[in-house]
Amino acid sequence: MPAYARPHPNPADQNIRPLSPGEIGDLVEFLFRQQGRAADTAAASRGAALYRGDAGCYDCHSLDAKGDSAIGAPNLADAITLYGDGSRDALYQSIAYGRQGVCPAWIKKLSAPDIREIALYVYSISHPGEAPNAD
Amino acid sequence: MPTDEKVKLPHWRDPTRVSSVRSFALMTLGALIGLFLAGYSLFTARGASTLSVPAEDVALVNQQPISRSDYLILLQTLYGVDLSHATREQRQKVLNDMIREELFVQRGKELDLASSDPEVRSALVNAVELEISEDAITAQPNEATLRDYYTTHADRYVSEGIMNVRDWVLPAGDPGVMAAALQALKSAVIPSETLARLHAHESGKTQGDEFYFAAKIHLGDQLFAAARDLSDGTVSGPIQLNDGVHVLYMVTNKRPVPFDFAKARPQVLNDYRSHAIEQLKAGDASFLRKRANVRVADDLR
Repeated sequence: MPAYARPHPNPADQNIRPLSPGEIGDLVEFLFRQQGRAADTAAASRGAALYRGDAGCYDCHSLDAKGDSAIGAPNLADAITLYGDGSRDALYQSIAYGRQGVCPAWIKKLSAPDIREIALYVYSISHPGEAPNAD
Repeated sequence: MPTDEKVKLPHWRDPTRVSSVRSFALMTLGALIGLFLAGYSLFTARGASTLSVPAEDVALVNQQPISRSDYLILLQTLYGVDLSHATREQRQKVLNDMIREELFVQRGKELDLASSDPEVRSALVNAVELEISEDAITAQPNEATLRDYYTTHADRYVSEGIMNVRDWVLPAGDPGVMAAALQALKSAVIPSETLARLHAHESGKTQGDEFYFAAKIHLGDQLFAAARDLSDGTVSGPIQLNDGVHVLYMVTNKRPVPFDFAKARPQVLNDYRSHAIEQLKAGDASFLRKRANVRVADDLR
């Protein structure tokens, strides 16, 4: 994802402009509101406009911030955070300086049964207490 | 008159006698038969083929294997079932789709689409780049390696500074008046009558908190250089520019702060991998260029 505190947030997309520190703060408030946490209402509204406008976040994370698994864009509206502790500071850090986490292509490194075992493991930790269907 | 007198044969037909004419004729005939057989085989043969499908494959299409693991993954992806639970129709559908795909890929190679279709060319370039980068993408560097990289490139892992600065513009005046102006402008809020008395106005180049790079663009190099060193609540000296004398008042100045390793680690890992990938790509590009015969037009050399 772009690093909005840099002069060129996304070298692959010159249409994405940098944001000011205040605008990044507004986006953080918007994400807090989407996650159902206490947020500054006015800042969250400004953040929503940025999210669906200039910042272009919706393009990958979808309009409701629930992500798009087809392209590996994480859900931003749930309580699971891939980086940091989910605090305002951690979210600010992610938006300001970007994240480039991508799952590497394992197709030639792991066998099909290994990939399946990993899929089952990931399912088991994301659905605690629920037995995955072995089929 | 002797009765056993042999019939007189031509010299080249008499097998008891050496004949160079006969030898050349037979050699020529042998060569022609050999060429005919070779030509016939070349233009009619279907190549060596095996009759059985290897255990790790599900089909051979013109001797090109279709991998069993690819088949199982596709079956799982499309229908969410493994081989033992798939219906006969599901198995057949997936297999037929894969055979069809292989046939079209082979036809694409025959047509040499890579020479004419930009999308195929682009896809091939991307695929080769991914193949080259594979080891770097999947390698997991240890913590010591990452720390080394972090230390070597420490200048990358710093926050962007943030400043909130006000830029006042005054007409040029005598030094005494300027000293009084500097004192009067040493505040975030200036009464309008003071501004009127000093004939000062705000340039409007900056607005609230700005990252350093944005402030540099808005203020210009000279004003930014002066602003960067100001502490909170201080004013710069007078800076003469074309549009008047500028005085900067720094409301807040948060200077860039280095990220500690824990905070920077995801970025360090990404940068490390990107660096390794770029190195692999550059090495391969150099190798391919070296072994290729590239001729460049005279006007583009």
